[in-house]
Amino acid sequence: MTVTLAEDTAVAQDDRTAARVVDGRAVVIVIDERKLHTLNDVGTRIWQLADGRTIGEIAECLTREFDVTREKAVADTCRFVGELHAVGALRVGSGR
Amino acid sequence: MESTLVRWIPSEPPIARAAFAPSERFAFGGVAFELLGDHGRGPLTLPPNVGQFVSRQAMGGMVAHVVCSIREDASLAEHATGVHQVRWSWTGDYGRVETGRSKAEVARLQRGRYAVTARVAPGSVGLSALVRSLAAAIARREGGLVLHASAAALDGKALLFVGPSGAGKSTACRMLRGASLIAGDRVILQRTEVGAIAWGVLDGNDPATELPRGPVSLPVGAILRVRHGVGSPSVVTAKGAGAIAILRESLMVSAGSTEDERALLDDCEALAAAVPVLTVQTVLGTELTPHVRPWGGGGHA
Repeated sequence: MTVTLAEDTAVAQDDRTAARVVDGRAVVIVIDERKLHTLNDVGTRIWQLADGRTIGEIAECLTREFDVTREKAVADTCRFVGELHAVGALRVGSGR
Repeated sequence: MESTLVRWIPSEPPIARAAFAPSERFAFGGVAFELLGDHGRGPLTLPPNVGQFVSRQAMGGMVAHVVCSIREDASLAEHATGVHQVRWSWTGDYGRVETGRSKAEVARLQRGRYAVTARVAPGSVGLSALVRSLAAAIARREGGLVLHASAAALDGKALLFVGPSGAGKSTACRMLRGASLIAGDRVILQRTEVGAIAWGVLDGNDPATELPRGPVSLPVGAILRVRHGVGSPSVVTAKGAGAIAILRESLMVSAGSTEDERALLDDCEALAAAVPVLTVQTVLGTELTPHVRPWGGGGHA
């Protein structure tokens, strides 16, 4: 399902997932899809920050923690959130 | 709780064996079985190849002991959906195991002790599939893990090759000179205070090869994710999330709930801390032994 993502889109981990973060890398399992995903360090951070924050708030954190401009952080977060939403790992909604 | 399982609870353990027909005893994948004939219907008729199951070796140190009452049910042959379709579920100490040609109800009497009543389609396939599936379900209930793996014994340790079907697990085993195969497609893995123990389960479509040769257990040297390549064989250590991902993908169990899945991840994380997890590139026609020997019993990894 295609969704429109923007800075004020709220993002949260789907309840039907299980994940483990080890040494800054995450394994995320989407239970109903029986699929396993491994995330890189930036992806893992986005996953950890997906607790109801908006994409803009997540991008702010990434800007502080990684050497990246806010514009690129927002764009990359939107793309990555879209990918994880498509596989059922993240829920997205209107901003808070 | 399933009310139909209540009849399993014996008032005086163990089950009154004298009430049953002569039994067959054997070990499979770390689980000691005693198969009992159908009460009141004469002795259980074991198909000829099941005779190879029988192992009268010492049953000490097994993952579990199972007493299993079996009767044949022709209707299961009519409704067979395939011997590889296996389902099991546990509700507390009670479980159900189903294959395409068998159905079983399982009761955990105490730690490591089980009673089973089962119906199987006539013939060896139903019984073999039942025993294989019961071993997996019970091992899991006892905290063990069932891995989709081929395994070979090298210098007294088990090397477990994992990967999806067609990845080359069995081929990797055959590339080990001086090693013996202990599992074709499935390994039951038990964590103990002294490390992980692998129980081999010989498996396959050929009834002559799918039956075990007796209790075979070895300490695990390493778990190796197989990738076929060109050039030279190579071995790389997988760490952290990569190791957990390899192990989780290799488990022959599908979790139904988030809690189950998280428990499986806990198991994978603990196993990754206890056993080296590697990725191995195999090259057709190239001896693999020198590259993995450090993780065999004679190595110093």
